Amino acid sequence: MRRYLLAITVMLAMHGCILDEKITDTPSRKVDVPYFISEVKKGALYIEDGKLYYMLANDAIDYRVVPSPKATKLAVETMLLSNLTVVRFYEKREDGRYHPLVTEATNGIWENFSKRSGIDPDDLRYPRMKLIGWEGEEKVRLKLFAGYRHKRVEKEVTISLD
Amino acid sequence: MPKPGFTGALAQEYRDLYQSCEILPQKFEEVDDTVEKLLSNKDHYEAVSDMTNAPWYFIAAIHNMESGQDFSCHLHNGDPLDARTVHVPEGRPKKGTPPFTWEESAFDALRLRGVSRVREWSLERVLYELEGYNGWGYRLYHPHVLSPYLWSFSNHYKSGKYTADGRWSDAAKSKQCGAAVIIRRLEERGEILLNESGNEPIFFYSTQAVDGSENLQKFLNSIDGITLRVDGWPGKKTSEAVKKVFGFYLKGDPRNDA
Repeated sequence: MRRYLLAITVMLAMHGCILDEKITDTPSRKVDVPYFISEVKKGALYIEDGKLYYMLANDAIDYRVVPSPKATKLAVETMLLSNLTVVRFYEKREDGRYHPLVTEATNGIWENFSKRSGIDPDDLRYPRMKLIGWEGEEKVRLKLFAGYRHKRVEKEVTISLD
Repeated sequence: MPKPGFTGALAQEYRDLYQSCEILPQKFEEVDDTVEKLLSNKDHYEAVSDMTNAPWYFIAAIHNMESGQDFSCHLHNGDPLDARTVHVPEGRPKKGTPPFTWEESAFDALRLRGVSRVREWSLERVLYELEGYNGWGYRLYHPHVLSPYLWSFSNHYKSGKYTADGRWSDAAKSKQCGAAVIIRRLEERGEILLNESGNEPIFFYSTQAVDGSENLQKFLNSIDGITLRVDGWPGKKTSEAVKKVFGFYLKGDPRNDA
């Protein structure tokens, strides 16, 4: 058994050496790999996007960042209060940074839904917007969730950002 | 979001607000219904209290504010308990295997927010932790409005809140009973005792000035037939006035032994 294990170890070591040689034979070149990292520190949301590192928001408890498929936009689930979560949107501009994207559609998601549904927005309890996902670069699917007069409201909506 | 420190001044503010808190008469029934429901689920809250060291009524008040006492979803954010949370805060609880019990998830939520690190649970600390759990947005950005998370349905709150879309509105009004109001009602009903020395008399007989005794003298002066000098000395005459109203002298009055 020991000899068998030793043989396997030697074979693996040799294989590693061979691989090492192959790698060494390959001409080295610098490759820029695009990367995007978001992190939350003490209630602030930081973005690391290529060479840029900056704070995107600092007025909430927690954040969840979901970039659009081509990363031209961000949808950020923002826990503004423990019982109030909204989705905010950001778009990348010429300076390479993301900036808030506010439109009539993004600014009144619950308000518009309430009007359509005949709901008094003041009666909503612990309202939360949850991001389901992106539909291309210009549309997002959201789920609205809240307590309403001892019942629950759950509704999926699509928001257009163009 | 910056976090205000738990200073003596802040503790005093919470104490003053709690002592002067009056539940709006038109909301009595709704508050009592909420309290009844919380009491019926006390076992759940006590189980989490054992894990976190936080008082059961603190956990109960949060549960009511976060999900209307719904035991089928994560306290974190209302996601279903049959999986880890997928929305903010996502991936909770990190440990364990779904489906989670409500208690497991509640423990994780409270620990994530630092509640299990609190060692001393005075009334003031309870109110501070409640406001902090909800977030400091009201205190930091809209200090002219006392947080409805604590004071809605009381004389301390009229209007002003974040709308469901996250925008501030001075006109919008919370229609959910505040957490401090729930705790106040629990104490009024004798379900909880927030002050360990709560069974001791607040006022004593003394021949020296005692803080707060002016309030007693002012109260006694409001009763027909009693006229006291408001000097903060709860001595012989103040004690006599107490006897006239309540039938006994102040504790410590030598006439009690006669």
